[in-house]
Amino acid sequence: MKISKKTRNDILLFFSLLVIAVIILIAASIGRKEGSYAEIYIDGELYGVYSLNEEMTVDIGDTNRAVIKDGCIYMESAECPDKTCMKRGRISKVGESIVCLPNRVTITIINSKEKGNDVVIG
Amino acid sequence: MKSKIVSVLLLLCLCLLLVLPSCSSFALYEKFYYDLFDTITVIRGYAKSSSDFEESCNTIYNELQTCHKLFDAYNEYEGINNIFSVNKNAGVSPLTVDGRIIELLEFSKQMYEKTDGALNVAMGAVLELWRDCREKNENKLPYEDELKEAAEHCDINGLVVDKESSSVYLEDRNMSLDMGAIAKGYACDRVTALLPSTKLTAALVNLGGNVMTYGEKPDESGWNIGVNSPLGEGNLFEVECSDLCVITSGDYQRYFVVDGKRYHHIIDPETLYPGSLFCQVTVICENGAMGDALSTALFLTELEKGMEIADLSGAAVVWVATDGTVYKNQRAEELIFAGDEI
Repeated sequence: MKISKKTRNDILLFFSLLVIAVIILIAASIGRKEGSYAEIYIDGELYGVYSLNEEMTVDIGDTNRAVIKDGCIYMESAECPDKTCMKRGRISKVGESIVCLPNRVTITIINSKEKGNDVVIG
Repeated sequence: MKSKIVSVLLLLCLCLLLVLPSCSSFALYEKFYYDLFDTITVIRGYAKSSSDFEESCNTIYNELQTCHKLFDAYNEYEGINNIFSVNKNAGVSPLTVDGRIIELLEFSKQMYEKTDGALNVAMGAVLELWRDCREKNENKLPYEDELKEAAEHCDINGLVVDKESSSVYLEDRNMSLDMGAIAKGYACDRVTALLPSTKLTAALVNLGGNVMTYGEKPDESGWNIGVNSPLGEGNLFEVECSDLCVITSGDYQRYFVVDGKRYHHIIDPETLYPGSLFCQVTVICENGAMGDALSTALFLTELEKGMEIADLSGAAVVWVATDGTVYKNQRAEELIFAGDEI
């Protein structure tokens, strides 16, 4: 069976397009890590990003201490009168946050496989 | 041969067209502010560059800060007449104020009528007693007779707004305004109004639980807002919004404890004590000031009547009663998706 030059070129084109598409898909998925992370900000400046998969204690400046355990993060201690951030309890879902207003500390959950919320209120 | 080259080129163009939307030129940025309305402010927005975003944030921040100062009932600021100044001049003389104060006070009076008095910006005298106890946190409640005495000075008809001369007068010397239940929503509306003139194609502003959304994201979806369940961990529901406001009032947001019992910040003008019908009320609607006012008013109103007020206002509302039962009106039913527990 003889494949005409035209058909051969078409097949070639088809496969090169396929290869390009696959490369684009791979490139798009790289950099999207799995699992959730906690972003900690002090006064709006990013202080650090921590995976919720590893147990750890994070000292945030001299004022607050957060603990990561069982895929959640919570504020263990805070030097402030109201302790609102400690009352907030454990958070783990994308978009949830803990705020310590007096010390200007914010913890936000980001970047999970699931589609996250832009903001969580209430 | 020539036609072949043309067709290959055409295919490549097609390829590019398919790829381009995924590398859109707009990126998402985020900024926090800590000095507005006694809460945290988050601005999220899509812009072409971080300098475009910063510039837009400055515009938004300036407006929010102006509103913050104008509606502050507890501090005075140099060079402006704000709610604090109006309260100070109660029973003395009318005061010329910014058009924004006039606009919101007139709207507050309308909301008073609409909610049958559940939203009363003139009950500053009562709220101040509760605020004092909450801030001192000395295991003490306001005295009953003090509350009753203060309630004598909460008549909204004593609030005289003169649009012509842009002035406000409180007839009763002991009366005072507290805009806490409506000012943040109004500030959101001001931001909504100025966003088209900024360099943001889509934006979300969260003023401590008062959220406004503007435009669609580059992928043409709306902003995804989760509302925390007051009953346990996780979200009660999620809602995708563009050009809508979402406001939540909850009994767990601000409170203090006396003899082991929690007293929250949403005070019923009838009983003069914190409302006990619901633990959370969420309002979704186009107008931020209305949504903010409704979230407080409906928190204090029996469900059946509240449902009526909500429907008349065209707002979507979700109530969580203190026994944990969740109620929604028709519009909320239509707007809300993917409710796990709802």
